[in-house]
This record gives sequence, structure tokens and C-alpha cells, in this order.
Amino acid sequence: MRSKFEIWVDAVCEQVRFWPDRKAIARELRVHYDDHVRDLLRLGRPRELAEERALEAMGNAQEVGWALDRVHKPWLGWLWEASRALVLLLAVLVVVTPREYTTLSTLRDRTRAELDWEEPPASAARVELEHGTLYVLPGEIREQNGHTAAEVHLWIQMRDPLAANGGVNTWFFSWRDDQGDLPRRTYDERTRTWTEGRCWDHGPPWSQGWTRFRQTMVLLLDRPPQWAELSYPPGGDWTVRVEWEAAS
Amino acid sequence: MRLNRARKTIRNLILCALLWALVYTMLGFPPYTVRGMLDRVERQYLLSDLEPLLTVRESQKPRFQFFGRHTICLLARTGDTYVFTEWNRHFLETVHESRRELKMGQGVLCAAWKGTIYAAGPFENAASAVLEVTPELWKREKLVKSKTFPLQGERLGDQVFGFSYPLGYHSWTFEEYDPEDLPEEELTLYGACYAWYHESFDGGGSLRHGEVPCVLTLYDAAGAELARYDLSLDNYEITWW
Amino acid sequence: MKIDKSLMSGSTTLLILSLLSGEEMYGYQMITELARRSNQVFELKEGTLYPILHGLEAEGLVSVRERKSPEGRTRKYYRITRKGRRALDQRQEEWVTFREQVDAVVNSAAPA
Repeated sequence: MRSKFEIWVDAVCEQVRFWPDRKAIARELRVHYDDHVRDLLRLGRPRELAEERALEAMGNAQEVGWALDRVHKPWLGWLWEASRALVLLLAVLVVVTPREYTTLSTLRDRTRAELDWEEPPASAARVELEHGTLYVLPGEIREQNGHTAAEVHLWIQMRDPLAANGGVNTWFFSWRDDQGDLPRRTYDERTRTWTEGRCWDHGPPWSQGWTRFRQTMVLLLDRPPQWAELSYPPGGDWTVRVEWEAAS
Repeated sequence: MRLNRARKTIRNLILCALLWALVYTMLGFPPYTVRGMLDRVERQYLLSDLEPLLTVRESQKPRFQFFGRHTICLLARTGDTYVFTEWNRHFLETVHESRRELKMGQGVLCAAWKGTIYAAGPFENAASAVLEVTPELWKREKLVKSKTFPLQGERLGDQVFGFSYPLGYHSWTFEEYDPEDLPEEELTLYGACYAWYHESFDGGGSLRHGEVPCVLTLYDAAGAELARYDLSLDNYEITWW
Repeated sequence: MKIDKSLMSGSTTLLILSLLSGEEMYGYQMITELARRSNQVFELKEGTLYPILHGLEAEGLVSVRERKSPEGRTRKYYRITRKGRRALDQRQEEWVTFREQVDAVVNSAAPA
């Protein structure tokens, strides 16, 4: 048979809509009631009388319950529980998520490349694109197997970070000089050979920052170059011309 | 307990935001929406205003994995440049399909995926379209065999036609037939694009990439020819390797 | 002397915060302390103390800590926070003003 106090506590807790809090409330009220009963017993009251007085002193169960319910708002309670569950879920996710896409070294390298970036010289040709600015500068000229190889340096400054995760793709960049188009060197699977292209990417792949990227391309020309023009038909009508100073 | 419930909830939500940022960074900032994927492509390929023309989705749930694998193929257009891109999503990871990152075409584009060849271009006025695909068998710089497969187009959008063909596993092995001597009934589009580009060697074989020429012809409602395009596909696209 | 309940209700928060301004206390301790300091005038219905305490905690005026007593009972101890002290100061000021005004009216209405 339940004690009168337990019935009282149940009546209080019934009014509290957010049920996860009921246990703690009942415990706190129970401790209080026990303290009061103990005090009265110490003063010499008989147990039954002490319990009755202590219970009466607790007040009206409904009123106490309503007042507690107003404080223990269900919406905040559920939001809190949800936030706890979400933190736990995300913590688990952090543990199980594969790290191969962005490792610590990737973060470090990209940040370093971003900060080490040298501004392109003012003489570099530039074109404004929707997502950033492209700078092009003529570079070194070398003799290579009887041909003249001319380097061209490219810089891209993107407007937003994380924009080109993986770098900017220059595969479809189109070069030409005064003698015509410079086709890109590609690998022909059927003949198992590299085609005789006249331009290719040189050196390490795009040095990738977060918004800043650099690349060097090599153009193979028949004689010391005067100018070459870069265009990118899919990306718009723009062209950029680079000129080499005539060698004396 | 120094913080009360409301403050603890706010602290938890801030912690959630930070943890999510960490997870998102570890995953390499994957895009989850079509717009997000196109934005990523725009920046990587220096394009602008990519407008989606067709979205093809496919989901698979392998037996021993909790979350399914989803493939999203996008056909998009900017100006007169057409783009086809394929993404794979598994739970929270989204990656560009590494074998077919992007296919781009000026004025017109065709790309094949899983038994359908998609053609995109200024096709608003066409009533019907036919695509003739011609796989070729080359031996030492000489064209030995070829066969043309005409495919009827189904309109999938204002600027998109789809051409379906049966995908299949070949029932023969390379010990049975020389690619040159494949019997007629085995010579499906899929079969030719596989057998004629396959190379056997001791201990196995490999499928090499090859260009498969195709001709797209558009017709108006009366049946008169509106336009003709010479295009090409990679045999890997056709065999969906 | 029993005081009219309506006079009490507005100042209960002031009383509780005043109690806690000295030291941290648990619920029953507050009841006995309040009765002792007020010479048994204030006898709050004990159950109604807890909604008030929980409400003060939700507002950030008090903070809660659980402590185990030697007998093994776990009690919740309430302590005033910095924000609670500021609220206490403000309410004390309000109470002083209120008392002065009531005094002024009551005393001026007394028969000469």
C-alpha cells in the first residue's frame, strides 16, 4: 500500500508535462518531506502525527504541480534532450567519418599555399570571371629537342573559399599563337601513344590554397614566341594575350 | 551544475554546429543539392550560371551496408556549352565520379550512362531524333569492322533527348570467339563496344578506351531533317564500365 | 502573527534570495531558516518553495549543486549567482521604496 506522501508526490508529478523531470522532482520533494518528518520525530512527536503534519505542510498537490509545470516547460525540455542527442550523434559521426578527403596535412598544405601566395606582378594580363580573377604572365623560354618551349604562369584568385576543392581544371583551356591553334597533348588509347600536343601542364599540379591557385603551362612553339592567346570557349568570350619581349 | 538548462541547450547547439563543421571539413566540403553540385562544377571549370536541364538519380542498397548508394547525373547548360557530370553519394559523402568527372560540349553534347545515351542541344523545335552509333574494330591502324546501331530518341526535356539500348553481360568468353568473328546475335551495341575494344593477354585482358563515332539527326514534325551533328562517345560510357 | 498571503507573494523571491546571499542552502534548510529569522511569521507552504527555486534557476538567479550528506542522502543545494545578487540588490531597493511609501500613506492617514 502506497504511503500518503507517495500518493501526494504522484499527484504533483502528474501535473508536470515534461515527464523526464518527474523523477528528480519526486526525489527532491521526498528528501524534503523526510527531513521534516525527522525533525518532528526529534522533537518527540509520534511517527503518524509527524508524517501527517509534514505532509500537510507540503501544500496542495495540484497547485504545487501546476507551479512546477509552468517552470519545467516541455518545449525547452525536449529541445534540451534533442540537443544532447544531437551532440552525441555528431560526436559519433566525427569518429566514423573517413578522413581521406581532408586530412590534417591537406589543411596544413592548403593553408600554407594560401598564405605563401605571391601576388601576380602588375604586368600580368588579367580577366575578370564570374567566380574569380585569372592572371596570366609569360615565363621562361627554353630550347627543348629542337623546339622552343615557352612557359606561361597562371594565377587564379577565386571569390569564395572552398570554391574549387580539388583545384581548377584547365583541361579545356585553348591556346593559339600567330600560326594557329596549339592542341593539348593527350594520350591516345588506341595507338597507345601521346599525341603531338603543343601545350601541357608543367610541374606539380595546381598549387592549391583555399581561394588562390597557381599553375604553370608549357607551350611548344616552332620559334621564339612573340605572343600566344588563351581562350576558354565554354567559359565565355574572353581571351587573354601574353607577349614575350622580342629577343635581341 | 553551473549552467541552467537553457544555457546548456544553447551550449549544446553551438557544439553541434562546431562538430558539424568538423565533419563537413573532413568529408571535403561535399555538396548535397543539385544547385550545390553545379556551383562546385562552375568554380572548378570556370563556368557561370549553369542551368540544370536533366537530373537522373539512381539508388542502390547493397546488402551489407546500412546506407544506400545514390548516383546523381546532371545535364546542364550555360550559354551554348553543355555539361554532363556524375556524382556519387553514400550517406554524407558526395564525390565526383572519378571515371567520368565532366563531359563538356560546345553547341551540342552527348553522354551515355547506364544504358541511355543523353543528347543535349538546341533541340526545342525537333519532333523526333535518331542517333546512329557506330562502334569500330581497328587492327593495327586499319579499320576492320564497324556496325551502325540506330537508336530512336525519347524527348526528356526541352533540350534533351534520350536514346536507350540494352545493357547486358556478354555471354561469350574471349576463348570462344575472336572479336572479329562475333556472331550476329552477340553483336549488340553493348557487345561491340566491349568486344571490339578489348585486349586479351596471358592471364587476362583489359578494356581500353576508344572513341565511338555517332551521328545525331533531328527531324521536325513532318519528318524533314532539321539538323545533323557528328559526335563521339567513349566506349566506357556505352558499356557503363 | 499570521500575515495575509497576498502581502507575502510578491516578496517571496526577495526573501529566498536574501537567505541565499549568505550561504548555499537546500530546500528544507531554507524553510527552517526563514521561520527562524522571521520569528515564525513567515511559514511558506513547503511544496510551493520548489517551483520558486526551479524558476529562479531557470532565470539564472540561482545555481544548483548536488551534494551527498553523510547519511547518504543526495540533496540539491542552491546558491545565488552574480545575476541573482544584482536582482537581489534591485529588489531590496524596490522593497525599501515600497515600504517608505506605504509608511508615508499609512502614517499620514493615522488620526492626529
